[in-house]
Amino acid sequence: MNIDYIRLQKTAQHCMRISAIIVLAIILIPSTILSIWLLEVETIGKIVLGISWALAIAYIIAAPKVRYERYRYCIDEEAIRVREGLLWVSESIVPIERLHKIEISQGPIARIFKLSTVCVTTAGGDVKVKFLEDEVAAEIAEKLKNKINFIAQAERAE
Amino acid sequence: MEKKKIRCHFSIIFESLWKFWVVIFILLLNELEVIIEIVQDIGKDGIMAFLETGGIWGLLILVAITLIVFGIQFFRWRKTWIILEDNLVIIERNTLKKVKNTIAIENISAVNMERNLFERIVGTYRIKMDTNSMTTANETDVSIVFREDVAIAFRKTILERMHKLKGNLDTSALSEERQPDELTKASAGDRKVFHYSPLDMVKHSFYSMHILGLLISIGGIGGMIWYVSEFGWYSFLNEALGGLIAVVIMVIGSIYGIVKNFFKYYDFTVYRDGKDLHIKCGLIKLRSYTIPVDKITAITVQQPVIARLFGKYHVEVTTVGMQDEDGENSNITMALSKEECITHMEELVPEYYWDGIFDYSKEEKGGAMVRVVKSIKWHVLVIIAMVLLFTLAEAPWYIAVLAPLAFDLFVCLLYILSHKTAGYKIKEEGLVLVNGYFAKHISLVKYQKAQVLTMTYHPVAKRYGIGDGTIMLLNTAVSVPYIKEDLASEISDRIIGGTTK
Repeated sequence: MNIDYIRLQKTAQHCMRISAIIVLAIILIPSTILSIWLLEVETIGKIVLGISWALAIAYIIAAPKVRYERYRYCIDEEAIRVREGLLWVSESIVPIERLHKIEISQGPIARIFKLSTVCVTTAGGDVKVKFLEDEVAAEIAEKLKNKINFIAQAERAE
Repeated sequence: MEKKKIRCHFSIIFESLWKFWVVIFILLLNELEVIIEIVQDIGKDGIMAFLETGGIWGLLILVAITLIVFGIQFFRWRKTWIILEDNLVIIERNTLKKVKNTIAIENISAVNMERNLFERIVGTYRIKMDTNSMTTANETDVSIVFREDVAIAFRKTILERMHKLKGNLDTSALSEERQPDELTKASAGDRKVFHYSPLDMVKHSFYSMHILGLLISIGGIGGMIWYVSEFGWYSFLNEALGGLIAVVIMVIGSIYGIVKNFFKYYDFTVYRDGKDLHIKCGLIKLRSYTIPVDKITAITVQQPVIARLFGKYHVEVTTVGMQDEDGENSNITMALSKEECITHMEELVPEYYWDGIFDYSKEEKGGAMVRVVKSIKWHVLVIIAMVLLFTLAEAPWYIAVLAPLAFDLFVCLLYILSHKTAGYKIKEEGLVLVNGYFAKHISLVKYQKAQVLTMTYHPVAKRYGIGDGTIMLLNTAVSVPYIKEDLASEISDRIIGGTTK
């Protein structure tokens, strides 16, 4: 069966990169200050720090690009499918029939790029469709909400 | 409007009081040395001297606290009502805090009965009701104590109303006012009752034993015998008393498991009645519970390590809203052979696909290579541990090398066992998923019960065109072993095709 997956907008990659920069900066800058100026670490410690910085920079350059290239989603009449990952690619499938709740959320960085996350919840777990443009997210949420209502009404009628 | 208002049996006050005394006893145990001193003083100087030296105050405080707790419990009992109103069960409590808990009978998933030793002496039963709610899935929603005849009648009324609300007007199957103690007598008619003898309990307890505990115990006892035969009792008591205590604790631990299971599952009886499974078991604490088959999320055929060696199986069901003492899994059989297991289950839960469940396919061979790559992180950690032990901790070479190496070999063994055990079978009605390391778990998952399927493709797995994953169910998750990508999409299509929630 051919599935028409949708790719994300380019802004999603920028959002991923800024998020990665902020997270790694929060971890690495205080560790570096603590290690060099307060703990005065030896050469081995400095080498470890250097490697960490190099890996972080490599991650910031490469990871958002790979994640963006791999990220796909598909919402059709039957199911919601999300394909994502960096090295390990995962694919989550939620049958529309099992949907219980739809939630739209937006973090501070995503807000800058006008991106939102749609979280679809079932009775057994949830799946997030991330980095969607605000209008697309609202449209998807509305569409899914109508489907949930339709299913609920059909069940009541039974 | 039909309204029935009843109170719990008054013995509940003393049951709560008993629990209070257990707490006091545990607190006093912490002050054991002081207690021993007091007892020695009483023995030496007499009880009057103890009372005169201030002991009277201690006793008075204890009596006063007991009376206060008794008073509170009495007040709670007097002010708590269980109201049965049409299709509602209302628990109303008008103490300092007013609480009114209303439960619609149609949302009740199970009405179970149990009695501990105290309740057995007093002649009462504890009724435990669970609802379908996921938020209270890990706890019993209502737990009330009634006199035996009241409890049996109450349970019967609730079950009848539950069945009527579900559209099952034929309540003849429920009309017997039966005690859980007399469950086996209900075998009359065409119902088949599976009853297990005390010998079956012993066998089940043995097969369910934890292998690690057993091995450590055997090793410990062996080591002790060797030490005593080599160096004698005197040397043993002087030099290795700590070891003796550890061995004794380990042996008690493994025996405790057998004894606990024997007491818990004593007289295990199960039968199918309409759409429900009725189970009764327990020696000291008698439990009787009902599992509606439509509330079963998944069924797992379990094979603990020892059972695996002897080719025995037992079956557990995972349900929402109902819980066993060990969580939400309930045993519905004791240890059985493969053939017995199929026969029993076809009678108890024919809704599931039992035919050929043991003839599943092994996970894809590429899975072994993925596991080899996944294990690399452990080998790296083990090498780092060796270097650190040798350089920084300056440990002798045999410790620095052998201890991490033993750990690494154990991790490798786990990877090998998980590959050897893993398997799957795609059937029309659902999946058979096999997982485990030393023990084997064969899970039966119906497509319509699956909520989310997540498949993960490791870079190495991708080369073999395989992936592993997880199926999220209502309150549990089952692992999917390494399967071909086209099979994964076949499973996802079947899950999407399952329309019932």
